[in-house]
Amino acid sequence: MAPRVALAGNPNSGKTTIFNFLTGSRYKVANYPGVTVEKKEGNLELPNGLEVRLIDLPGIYNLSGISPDEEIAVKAISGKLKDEPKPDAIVSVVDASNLERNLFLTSQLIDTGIPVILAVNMSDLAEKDGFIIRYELLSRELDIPVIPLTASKKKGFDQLNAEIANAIRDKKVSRKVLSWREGATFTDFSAEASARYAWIASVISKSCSYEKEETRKFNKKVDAFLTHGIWGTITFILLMAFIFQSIFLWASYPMDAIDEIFTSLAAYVSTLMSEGLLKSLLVDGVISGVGSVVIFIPQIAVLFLFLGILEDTGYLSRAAFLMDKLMRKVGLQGRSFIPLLSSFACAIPGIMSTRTIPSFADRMTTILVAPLMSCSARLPVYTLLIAAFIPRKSYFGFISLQGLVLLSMYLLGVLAAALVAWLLKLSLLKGQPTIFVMEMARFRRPSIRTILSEVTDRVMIFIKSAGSIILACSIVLWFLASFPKGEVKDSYAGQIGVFMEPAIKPLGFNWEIGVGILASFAAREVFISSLSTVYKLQEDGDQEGSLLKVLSEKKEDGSFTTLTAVSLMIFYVFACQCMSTLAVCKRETGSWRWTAFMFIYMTLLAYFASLITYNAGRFLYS
Amino acid sequence: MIQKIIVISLVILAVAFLFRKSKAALSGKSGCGNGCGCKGKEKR
Repeated sequence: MAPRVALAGNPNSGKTTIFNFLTGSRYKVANYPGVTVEKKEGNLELPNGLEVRLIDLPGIYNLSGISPDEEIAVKAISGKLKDEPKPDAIVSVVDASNLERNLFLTSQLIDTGIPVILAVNMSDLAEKDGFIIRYELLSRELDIPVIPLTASKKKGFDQLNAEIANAIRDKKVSRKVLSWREGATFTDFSAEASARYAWIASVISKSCSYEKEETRKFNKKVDAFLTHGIWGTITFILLMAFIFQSIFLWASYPMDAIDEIFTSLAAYVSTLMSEGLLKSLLVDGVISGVGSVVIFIPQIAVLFLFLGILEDTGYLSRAAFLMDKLMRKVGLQGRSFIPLLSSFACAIPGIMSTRTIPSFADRMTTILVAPLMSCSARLPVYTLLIAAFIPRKSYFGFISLQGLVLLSMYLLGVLAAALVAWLLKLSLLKGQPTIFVMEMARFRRPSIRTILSEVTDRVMIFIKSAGSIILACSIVLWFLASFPKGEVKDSYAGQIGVFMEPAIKPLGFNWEIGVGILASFAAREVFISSLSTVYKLQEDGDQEGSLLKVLSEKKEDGSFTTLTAVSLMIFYVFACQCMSTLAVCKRETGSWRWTAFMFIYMTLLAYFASLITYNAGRFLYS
Repeated sequence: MIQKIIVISLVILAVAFLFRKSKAALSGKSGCGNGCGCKGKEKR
């Protein structure tokens, strides 16, 4: 069996960045704590040819972890996981700027009797801030090898690999920390903490010094501003408004280009093939369906570019601090912020990251409201309807109405999540929120590599889904909408839509929308491809044009109104139209009952919110 | 006739693919099932 080396450290100390580099993996990294919630393993080949199994553990502050993810880390270190022996060596990863707090865990790791190597990550940033670490002295004081590391710039890894090889070969265990203190017996955690912090203070005073007091003071002032109840909130709202404006502004040209490509492709295929089933399948099913979804790639890229910048600069942990106050009011805790934030990309990683929440009631509440955050699959639905039905007006010359409507869809999801969480905590999931200590990630210049990698990943996921699920759905839907031959309304899909129509008509939806809603249960984007296929099959002859153009024409002739579009967007804000989310909810809660509860409450919420919107709109504009 | 066979084969393939995807997602075996990248990917 290959020797095992564990990467352990506080949240947001850079363990996963180190793991990714050493093993060639591409796990998600971010400049905020709590990204890693599962133990991950990979192979690392050392310079001496020895292959070791590297284990990346979720972040922990000490060895008495209470939340599910912390428990995994603690059990892995103490060898209590089934069929997994204790690691042969531990790399204790610490953030150089928060050395004092990070060394607490290191001191406990030293006392486990397993050889420990200290990897001081982000050492360049600490140095820039004037925090000078004398590594040789630190190593002597701790009695373990100490390696300065800048993981994001790939510096220090050769030395780290060499020390891992030495630790496995020599099996040298360092002096225990607490045995230094005469008669030190601890009955409670606070006494142990005091003793360890006293030891850490003495180690730091001998090996480190602070040279630039002004930088530290400036950073504190910036933090005070960004986490201020009023100024911080205004900054947050302005930033979000800017992002949603940019989604429309920046993405329009590449979107037009993609639209042009697919329209030309459809025209080319039309001229190339003679009339028949295969031509209809390719033009009306595949090209129309997949093309109508692929067009949204630029918007997805812009959204994740901005989120990546906010994440990597360290701003998001300030936003989490800001949100903590709001979340406490609805009975949640700050730990719920990261799962909810992740859900803006996709509810699945969001639900999985609730493992950092120790309280059952808080975790369950977070899982149940996470799908209300507008995920990236909803973005195409919103932007298609906004582009087709909301006028391109702007206020004060720079605030566009379309951007505001998009922002309000996202905010609506957030408000609904707050309301549902509050109701759940009052009724089914009573319990006091637990104390939350938020790690304030340091400010840093964003890494272009990390951001581009995140954007590329998201775009690739979108393309993959367009080339697999959406393609398959487009083919099936084309079949259902083309047979039996005749009017689309009389086809199998049409019959299903017509059957649904009485239930959805009060929301302003027709049978075509009904077909789209039903098909989008596979993935929300499928709504667009379905609508595109159904409308394409109804067109006369070789009419050309994207779904956007078709919808704009329908707006003109009054068969698809702005009110219907708004009602539909609101339906998509609340509806749980995602099979994968339900599957992951079942897996994480272990209960079909909670999963069914989530599906039912979200569907009812979506139905009644749309019903009220549509009828209130009709009443106001009649 | 050939066109019909191709079209029917494609539809059957698409249905089988969607069925396999749904089954994997519901059993929780495919991670998120949506390809959202939450499981990460080990290259080596």
